Amino acid sequence: MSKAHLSNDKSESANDRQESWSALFDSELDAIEQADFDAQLEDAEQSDRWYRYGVIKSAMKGELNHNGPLDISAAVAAEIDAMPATSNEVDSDNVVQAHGSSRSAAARKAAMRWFNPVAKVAVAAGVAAVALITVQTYQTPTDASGVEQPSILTNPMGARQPVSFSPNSTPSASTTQQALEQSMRRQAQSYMIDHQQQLMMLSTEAANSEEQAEAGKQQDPQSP
Amino acid sequence: MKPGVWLVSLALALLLASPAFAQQETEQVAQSDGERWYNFMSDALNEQNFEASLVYVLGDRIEPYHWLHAVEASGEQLELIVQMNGPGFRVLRIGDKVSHFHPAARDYSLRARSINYLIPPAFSQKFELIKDYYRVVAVGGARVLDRKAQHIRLISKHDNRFGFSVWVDRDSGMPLKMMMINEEGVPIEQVQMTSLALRQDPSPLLEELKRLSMPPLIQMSTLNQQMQSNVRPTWQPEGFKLVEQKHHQLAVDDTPVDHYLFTDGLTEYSVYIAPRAAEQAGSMSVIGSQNLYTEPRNDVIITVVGQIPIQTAKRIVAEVQ
Repeated sequence: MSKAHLSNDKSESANDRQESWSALFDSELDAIEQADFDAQLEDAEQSDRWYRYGVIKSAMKGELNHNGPLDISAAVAAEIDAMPATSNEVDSDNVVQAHGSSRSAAARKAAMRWFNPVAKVAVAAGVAAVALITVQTYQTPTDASGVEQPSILTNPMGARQPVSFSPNSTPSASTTQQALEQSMRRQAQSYMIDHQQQLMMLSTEAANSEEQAEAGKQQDPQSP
Repeated sequence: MKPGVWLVSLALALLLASPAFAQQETEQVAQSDGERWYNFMSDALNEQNFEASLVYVLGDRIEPYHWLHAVEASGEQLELIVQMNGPGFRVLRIGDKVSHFHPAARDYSLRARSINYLIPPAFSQKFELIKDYYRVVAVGGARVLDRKAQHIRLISKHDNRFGFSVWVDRDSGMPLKMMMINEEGVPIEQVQMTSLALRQDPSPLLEELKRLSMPPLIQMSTLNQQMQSNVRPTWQPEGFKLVEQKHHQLAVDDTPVDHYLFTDGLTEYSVYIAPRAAEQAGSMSVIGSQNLYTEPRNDVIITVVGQIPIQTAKRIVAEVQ
């Protein structure tokens, strides 16, 4: 369906090239020779079409997805679900990710409903940015002073260690700590994501009209 | 320079009491000058037909974007942001409808007057809206993106929020570079344009996009449930106003929260009050583009998230009662 639509597009170049562009967006990258792909990337004219196809493809997908109830919180939950995979990209040192087990049942269910399992890595850009900064701030080494550094400060952390905790932390102790850190990290993420979601949904119109009413009380200082 | 570009900028310049001439008196009236540059920028963001490439820098992370904007003859605005690396997230705004396209998730539309992403929505509005809490100062000239740019700084009148540095194109008013600066003067978020093309007419691509059928519009969850906790925020930094309060559940882990959203027109922050879980560890702060501070107290956990200094966040939490 998408290919038919795309090749109706005004085009002066060969049809097969268009075919491969749309194949790209249909996730059929394997079908294209790498050399071919490189050549296309160099083609400035083609790159304009890239956006067009990308957007059209997405829009069409959206159209196809119109059936069924739509719930933004579920969609966001599904995005979160995809996050551990993203986090691992920057967090490869931390082997105790265990992202499979740390997901909530609800998120998992949502993911099954909303996601193609193959496409786990793809998340909303805004959400991903939040997630990554969170992970990174955890990773930043604490400054010697330990005060107000870009790092996570967890006051009672030490107190929560098992009694047997020693400086040469045993595997189980470090696992406990990592699990705790993981849970705090997720907690922080869920708040950050909710905040972002609230901002997206904040009706700017309502906020503006309120402020404009207030600004209107003052004389316009711009008039010369 | 293309005559079209020149004409547009000339028309704009005349319209806006001629910022070009204003350069000459920059020293005497840096502030009112800054305000004029700011408004020149906000007009450009609303009135210019442009196609820009930019990089968004967050810590050690760089993301390239393509950004298109067009104004129809009817006055309706079209705007498209395309993420150029990775999955290719896209946001399309037509008038007051913003559609989000995620390659792997469901697409959806929201009603909003701006795309709350990359550049603060306040930048496309008049300075008057934030003048009570921010000063804007014209700092000087610079060469940015091979253009003559005016550097303006947006400084909080109080110490409890972040500041911005913006380099505005002297010809077109477009923001060519932007930095969000924390209380120590360290850049947190940066945007740098890498190419900018101004057009006299809207890009045909955006016209084409208008004919697509857009994903379904999502209504805000209208269940304005009663707040569950008997404590609430009692202090906010000067200028911040409560714009929303409701009880809902976090999408990620279903934590029930009382949520309060504050804004001063440029910056927003949220206050969350949630029941305390048995295993709740303790207070914690995360410092980044969004700061977070969370603290358990009695039977609740209080969390503040937003682009505000951590000290401000702590005070907000301390004064929840």
